Amino acid sequence: MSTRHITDEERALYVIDGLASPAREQLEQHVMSCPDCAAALADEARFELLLHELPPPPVAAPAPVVALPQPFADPEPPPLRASMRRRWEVRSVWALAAAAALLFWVKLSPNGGPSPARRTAPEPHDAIVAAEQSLTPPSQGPELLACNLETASQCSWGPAPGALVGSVSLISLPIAEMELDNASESGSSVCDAPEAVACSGRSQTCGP
Amino acid sequence: MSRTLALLLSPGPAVPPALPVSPWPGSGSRAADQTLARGDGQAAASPPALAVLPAPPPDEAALRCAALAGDAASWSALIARYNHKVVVSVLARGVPLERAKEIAQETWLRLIENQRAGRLQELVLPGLAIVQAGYLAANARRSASRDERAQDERAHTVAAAAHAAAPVPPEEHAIGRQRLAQLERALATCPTGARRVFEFVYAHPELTYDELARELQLSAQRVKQIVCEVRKRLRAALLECEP
Repeated sequence: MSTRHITDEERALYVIDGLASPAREQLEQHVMSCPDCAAALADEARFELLLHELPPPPVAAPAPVVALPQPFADPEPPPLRASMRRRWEVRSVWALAAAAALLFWVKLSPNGGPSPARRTAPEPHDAIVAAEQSLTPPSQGPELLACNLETASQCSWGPAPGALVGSVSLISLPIAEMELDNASESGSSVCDAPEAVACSGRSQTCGP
Repeated sequence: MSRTLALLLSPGPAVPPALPVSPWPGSGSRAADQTLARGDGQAAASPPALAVLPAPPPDEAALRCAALAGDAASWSALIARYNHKVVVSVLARGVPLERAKEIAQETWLRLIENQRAGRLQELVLPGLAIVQAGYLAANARRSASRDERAQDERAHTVAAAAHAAAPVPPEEHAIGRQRLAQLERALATCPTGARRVFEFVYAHPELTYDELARELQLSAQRVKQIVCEVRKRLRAALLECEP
């Protein structure tokens, strides 16, 4: 029999079943003959039972569900996007109308559209002459259009004060963006649309 | 293991079909719920693996299933795993160590007899053994005669459950709640890693230290050391608040 009293750590290790067999048997032999150590061991065992009554730790909140990106979370476009789309639609109508008017004017003009000299503000006399010339029936419509586009592509990057071309270029910018927007949504290329080709050509060459 | 228990654990003549296995062993009436609710799900940095097991280890579940089917070797393995916890629970009732060991042996005997009689539908360990041992310890205090206990033999398991479900006196209940609250506060002041190890160990009384160490990716010696350190702090905190 061991005369040494058991320590607190030995008691704790015994209660939690952490002692190896030789040490445990030695402790048990001592406890059977030592009332003090037996009482201390019983107290340690009561404490062990109390620890088993401890409530569980608070359960961690589940990980927040990561919100899906807007296009996946909400199939319908948000109101802001809808209004933007409506705005682009209105602009596109106006742009198409302006482009049609430009094409019609180019088709009617005998010189195939504005010459580089006419990019400046037209003189009243020139305007009358142009109006008279525009009354003559066009004989080379498609060729004139091609020529006009060709000449337009040859214009410089300098300021283009021509009112008509300037206005077209200003209008054509939303068209290009609209086509970009539509292309990004439908997956088609910008160059698929002929209007886009014309507008992009003008905006490239004649834009500010 | 006593001679009677060794004889009882000898292979029986017939093995009944397997009975449904209890979902999770517990050390007490609240242990199963605690175990299921103790899933903080956090991937702790130290120690890394603290996930609560959704089910008992496969060997543990197989052991209990085989024990319910009457397999003697499975009973022996379960007794070796849980007997010390039963002894400690009896020690906590003020029973001397030698007598506590006897009561633990008797507890296992009762369980095996009930299983062979077909009265054991599920095996919740160590909770069932601890409840049974508590009843036996209380019964030993009440009656000095072994013959009187033999008369109640059939009703032991049912009575043990009733004993466990007996209401606690309000004063004792309030004191117990105060002590538990003090322990909780003290536990909250412990280092996070040590606290998590401690909570994991007490949430899984069915695991041995080797299994705990494997789950926590620590050595078994380190797990014991951490548990002892936390216990020491908790005990000191409890003594401070008590007159």
